[in-house]
Amino acid sequence: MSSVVAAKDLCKTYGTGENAVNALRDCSVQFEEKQFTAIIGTSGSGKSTLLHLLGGLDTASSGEVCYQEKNILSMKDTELSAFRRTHIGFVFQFFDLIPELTAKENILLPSMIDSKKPDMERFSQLTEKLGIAGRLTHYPSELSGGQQQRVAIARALIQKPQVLLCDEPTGNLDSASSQEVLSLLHQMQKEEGQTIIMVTHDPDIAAQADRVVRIEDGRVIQQ
Amino acid sequence: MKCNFYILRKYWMAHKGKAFTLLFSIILMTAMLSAVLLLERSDVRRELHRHYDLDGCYDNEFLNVQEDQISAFTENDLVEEWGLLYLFGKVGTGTVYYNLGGFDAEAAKLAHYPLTEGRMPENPGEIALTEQLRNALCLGAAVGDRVMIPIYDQGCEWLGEKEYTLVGVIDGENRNSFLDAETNIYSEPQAVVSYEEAKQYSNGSYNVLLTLKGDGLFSLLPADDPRTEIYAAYYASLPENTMAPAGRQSALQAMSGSMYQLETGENVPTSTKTKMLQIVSSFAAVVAMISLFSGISVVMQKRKGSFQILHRIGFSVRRLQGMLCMEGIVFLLIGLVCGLLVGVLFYEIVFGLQVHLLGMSDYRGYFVEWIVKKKTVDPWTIPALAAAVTTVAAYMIPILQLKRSLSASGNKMKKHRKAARYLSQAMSRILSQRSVECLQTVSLVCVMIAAMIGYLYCTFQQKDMQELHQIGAIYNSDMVEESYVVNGVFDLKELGLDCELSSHAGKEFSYMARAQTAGLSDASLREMAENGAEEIYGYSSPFHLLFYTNGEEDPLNKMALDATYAERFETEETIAAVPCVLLSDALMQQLAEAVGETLPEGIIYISASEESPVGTRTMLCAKTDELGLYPAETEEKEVEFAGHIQVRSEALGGYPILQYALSSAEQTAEQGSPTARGKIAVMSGSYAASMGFYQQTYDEVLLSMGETTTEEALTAMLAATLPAESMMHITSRFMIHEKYIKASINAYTTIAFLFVLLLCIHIVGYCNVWKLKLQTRSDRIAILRSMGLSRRKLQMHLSLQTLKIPVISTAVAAVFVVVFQKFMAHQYDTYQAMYDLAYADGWSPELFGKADQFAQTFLLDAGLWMPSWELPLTLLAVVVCGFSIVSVLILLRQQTSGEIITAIKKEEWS
Repeated sequence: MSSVVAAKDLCKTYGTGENAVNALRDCSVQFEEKQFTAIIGTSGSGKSTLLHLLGGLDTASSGEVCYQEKNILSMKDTELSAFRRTHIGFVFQFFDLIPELTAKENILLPSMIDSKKPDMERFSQLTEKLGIAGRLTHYPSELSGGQQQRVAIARALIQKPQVLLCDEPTGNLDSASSQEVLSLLHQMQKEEGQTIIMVTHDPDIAAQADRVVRIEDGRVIQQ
Repeated sequence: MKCNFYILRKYWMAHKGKAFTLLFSIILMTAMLSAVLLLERSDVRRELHRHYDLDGCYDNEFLNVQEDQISAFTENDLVEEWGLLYLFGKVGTGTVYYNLGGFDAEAAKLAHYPLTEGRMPENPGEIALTEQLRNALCLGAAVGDRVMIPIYDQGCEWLGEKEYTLVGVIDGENRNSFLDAETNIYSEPQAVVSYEEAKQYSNGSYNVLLTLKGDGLFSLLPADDPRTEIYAAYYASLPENTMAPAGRQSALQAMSGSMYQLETGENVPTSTKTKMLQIVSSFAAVVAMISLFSGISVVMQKRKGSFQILHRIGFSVRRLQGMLCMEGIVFLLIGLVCGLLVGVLFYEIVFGLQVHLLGMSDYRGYFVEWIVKKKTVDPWTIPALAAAVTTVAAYMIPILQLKRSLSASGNKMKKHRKAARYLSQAMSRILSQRSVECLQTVSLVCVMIAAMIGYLYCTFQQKDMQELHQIGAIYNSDMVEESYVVNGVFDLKELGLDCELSSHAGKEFSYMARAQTAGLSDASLREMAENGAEEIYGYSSPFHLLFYTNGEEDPLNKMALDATYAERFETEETIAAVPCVLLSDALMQQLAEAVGETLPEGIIYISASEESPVGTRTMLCAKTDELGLYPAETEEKEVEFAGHIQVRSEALGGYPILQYALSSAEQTAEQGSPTARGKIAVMSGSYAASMGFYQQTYDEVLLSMGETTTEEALTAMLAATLPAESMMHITSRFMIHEKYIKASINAYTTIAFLFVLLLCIHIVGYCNVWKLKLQTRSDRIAILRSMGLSRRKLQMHLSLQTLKIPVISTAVAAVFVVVFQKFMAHQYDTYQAMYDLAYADGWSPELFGKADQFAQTFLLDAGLWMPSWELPLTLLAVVVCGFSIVSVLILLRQQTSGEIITAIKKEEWS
């Protein structure tokens, strides 16, 4: 299997001088195609920072994030936005749905942003698979946490991204809902062939991944 | 309480940006509004002082008061302020004399002389002259120049010449008492020296200028008012002295209709300009209140979550409400204090620009006259009150909603059933806060309507002269175009002339006692031509030829055209007067061309018709050997001469010399005028002199120096040729232009400044709301960005969202202007009909009063609401759209300058 995304010597420092905090220190790691990777570590270890840098949501102090040899951190905003739109999907711990839009509108939002006619066939498939077909006209506030996260997953997958980045997707859910979400991610990875990179602090959840990357104090200590 | 404060402090410390924005809203609104109202006050003060310029700002002036009598006037309990004018001599040309005196400091303030430049004299050796006297005695002298002044005693006996430094030029044109200076016993001095110097002369006399307590209401009180008796007692207690008209009261009357109307709260007419200022200020208040309300609403909307948390941990709804009240009061107090201070700062900046850049008069709006207070709103309490009401209203809504929202199950979103098919719709929903948007639209509509009303007011053109004359009483000379600003008759620029010389000096309005020496003779006109004047037209304003009737023969067997004119005019034998003018050669030539024949020089041709022995006599061209009624036998003749002359017809290439048009006998009969309207006799100045006529000079001269002339060349020519005794009043097109600019600045700049402030209030309020919107929606924007929405695309969509309000507002404003213009046109037609009715069957003062009142109510100054508005509205819309887009993009740039993930993770307190 070839590497689809790679972090090379990534460093991220917050603050300056005496207040400087090194969230990542020369972090290098590769993620294989169609593999489910879990990044684990203690709180403040830098795992979320790594994920955000992998998605281009944050800027690194130094280092590169390469998608098939393309360093996304050197891209300009327009180019990076287009890349993110077509290649990367995000699932966040707090779902981060737009409260003013219905579930359906939230899911179709990436297509709108891409100025594309939404693929309604895929939309139907996804919502069926994720079990939210009956809740599409509901607003986020009218959905349970598990349902909101499924909507967030559908939104992340609607554009068929190559890589799905999940930042503690089960962190805000009960264990039953967490297990459901995890199963769905596995199912989607098998059926759609995405590369999934998931940040978690739960070893049990990480154990279900194909591969586990452990980060401590901003460094990858075990792959 | 302590806990409440602690929580509030923590919350606002964590949201310093929002706290600042909210506080900024209150400060800005208060500041802008107080600045607007202070500017309005300044302008109304300027208007009042322009009225004071006409007659002074004293209530009474007692003349010829002896030194030992002064205390009888000044020590009266009813007297508030008083000052002394010491008159000790006259300044003159040998034929015309003007009072010379000195004001003490208080009297100088009360006299309120309008100065075109310089200052009043403060030290011995300094003098201030009226513009007209300066032109007569030392034309071209500038402030600071040394000038020789011929001085006479009060009996016009020559005292000698004295050298002075000219320190000030008084605007004589705007002073009522100067107009009939020669014969008016109340005449104020047109030459003023320092009080100290004046007192050095003996045999002078004092005038006491004073104001009375009680706002000068005394003379306008109705007979049954108890105060009337008090004032009657006051007058009874004074020595018998002549009393000059009260200047302050006429100014106050001009400002307010009448004191009594003002005090009793009756309908008080206000000048159009003041009304315009009030309209713009009212819009400013609405816009400011909307800006503040919107800002607070946006912040409050976002805090619902925080309130829920506090409620869950044990805060009662009442306590939360109390906490919010406390917060509102703290913000309001801080905002008000800072706002009023910033308002003063804004005002001082704009006021400074008006005074130093535009040369407007220096009347600040802080401590103002009571009449100004009455006509304007308070610049401190009204902004404070508006800010308080708005803040309370903006806080009351969440306070009242608190109970309902906390008892409801969660913060449910309002359902929008329409699917978001396009990103723009989704963006619209994300950023939408309907109530705030509606308010912002109302705010911008207010701005645009205020702008359009201001524009229509500032740019109207009179429909025609006739309508201007009809409007009469409400006609505001500040507001008409250049040609009518100064003299209301000639448009020098349009006629290609440089200067008008008129001998207003020393001339009464009545034609009984006209000074023979005032005006210019044919010799002076020739001298002007030799000194470079290319075109010269001289004429006298109409005087009258007299007729005798009742079957008696004219005792002198000729027309009363000599020195006995005045004397004989007053006898009962005189039954009618036919106007006669003197025309200079150039005008005689033009008249001859218009008539198509050579005018016979040296003979006056007159006839009378039998049917109407009084008032319908017609001038004819019939030859006679002597002056007198012709023919001796009554004889009807065809009117040939008058029948085809249109003296005002410029189409003939002639100069519009006369305001009286010649007309045929039939026309004259139809007009049925009891005066000599429709008839006129003409003769040249030199012929009049050779005949020893009463009038021998041209009292109106118009001249041109050629296309390339300058003000300096014109002044030099006049200085070289004008004889001092002519006392000609000079009005050059350069002066007119300067005065026009000044009048325009006075009339329009405050309104323009107010509008700019109004626009600023809106734009800042708009930006504030958008800033808060973007702040409170930053997480949503970051989510969109995480899904691949580029910054550029986000900018594009936000720009579209931004345009929504200006576009809707422009459309609403356009509809308003169309309806408004139609309405005003209708009102104008109604006014015209009312006016015609007032004159339909003789003149009806009652109907005229109603028409006048109607015109004042609807500000119908010459159809001023008719200019086309499309272009300015479009330009304004473009400016507003541009501002909106640019400001929102700048705000967005600030908002999205950080990392996307930071914004996503940035949690609200909730």
